[in-house]
Amino acid sequence: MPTPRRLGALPVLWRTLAVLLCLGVLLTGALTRSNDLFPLGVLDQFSKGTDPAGEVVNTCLQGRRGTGEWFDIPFGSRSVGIGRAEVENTLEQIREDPELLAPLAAEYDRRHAGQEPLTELVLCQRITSLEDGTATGEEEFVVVVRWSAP
Amino acid sequence: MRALLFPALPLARVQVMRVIVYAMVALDVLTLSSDVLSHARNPGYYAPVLFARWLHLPAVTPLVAYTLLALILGGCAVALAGRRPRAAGAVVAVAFTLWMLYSNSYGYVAHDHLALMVAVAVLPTVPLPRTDGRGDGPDASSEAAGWALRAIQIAVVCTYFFSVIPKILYSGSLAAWGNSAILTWASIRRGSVVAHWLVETMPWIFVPAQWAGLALELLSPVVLLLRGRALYVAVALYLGFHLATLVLLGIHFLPTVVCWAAFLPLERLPVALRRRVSGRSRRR
Repeated sequence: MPTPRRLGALPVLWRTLAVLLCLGVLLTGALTRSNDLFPLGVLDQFSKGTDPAGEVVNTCLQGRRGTGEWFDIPFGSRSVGIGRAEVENTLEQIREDPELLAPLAAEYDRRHAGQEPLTELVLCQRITSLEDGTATGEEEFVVVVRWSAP
Repeated sequence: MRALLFPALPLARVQVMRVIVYAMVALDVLTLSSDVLSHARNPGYYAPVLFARWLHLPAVTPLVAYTLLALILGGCAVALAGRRPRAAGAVVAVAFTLWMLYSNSYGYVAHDHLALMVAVAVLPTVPLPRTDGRGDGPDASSEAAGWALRAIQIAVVCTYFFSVIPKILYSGSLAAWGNSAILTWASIRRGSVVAHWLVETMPWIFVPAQWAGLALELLSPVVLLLRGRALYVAVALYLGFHLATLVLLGIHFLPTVVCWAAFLPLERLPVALRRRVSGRSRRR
């Protein structure tokens, strides 16, 4: 077995400090609940425990062309150019400025060039009530924001 | 401390890890994090994270996105071909970090890339095997290789362990999270056919599953101390956890999953491959 190549004092020092710094930032991000420190921010996906007697809010998107039927439009970069989570985390801004839905309609139209463009887009929520941790009753449909093409 | 952070590990293990990581990065930018290309058409959603603000990064444009994509794919191709892997890896490290900052600066921050981002940052720091008169043999090892692999391992473990803290902070206590309806919530929102079937027929299964997930997260640092068969069983356990979340919720955590390879004796792979190839050629 050949002798391992050892590191000098300085390379050991900066590598040790780099690890400690990253762990320190990760801990800070976790304790301050900060996603701002990405990639060393809080790892908070699925960290809010849902009340077993609460509700599940499922954000949705619907569109229509002219006076046609409303239809579901999936979120995602291959549909409207943005994911559901991004939209949910920008909900307040979208409520204040429904024009933030315009690029989503534009991207969807761009990907469906052979069809009539969307004239309306609705950001909606399907709400399921829970009882003892499982779904109960009928799903409620709520319109959050409506955008109309100019 | 030195033995913990700087174990002398085989350079051949780092060479195999480079292949795994750069192949994953190329796949990642073309699929999992390809949202950067569509973000270029949504400047209104740009909410730069701290490091993006420090770097004064403006909202991504198609030109910037495609330039970064070309640099990442080109760097990965060069590194995978074994040509100047440290220089190519450094280009990938810079471009991929910028790419990920853009991917996570549009209102949503994902948490499955921590280990992969650490991997692309540390792999270029490992010197290559010497080919001069002092040439390293196939069994050569170094502390630099050990540190890089250890850094990836620590990042993998942190991905689980540090997710426990927000569960306590957001839910009040670990028990509140463990007894909550979080998996029912996730199943209704994004569950597969199997998950919806579980919600309807045996919702009681989710609470023990949540406690099992918590146990895996809390105990993850122990993996850093395991060796041999116990380590392989632990790695299989965590990969099984990801398989379950994939089947139920479509969540694969692939960038983290591939980094579990840093725990394995990858240096035995090329030897096994060489033996297999030479065995075949002898049979011809």
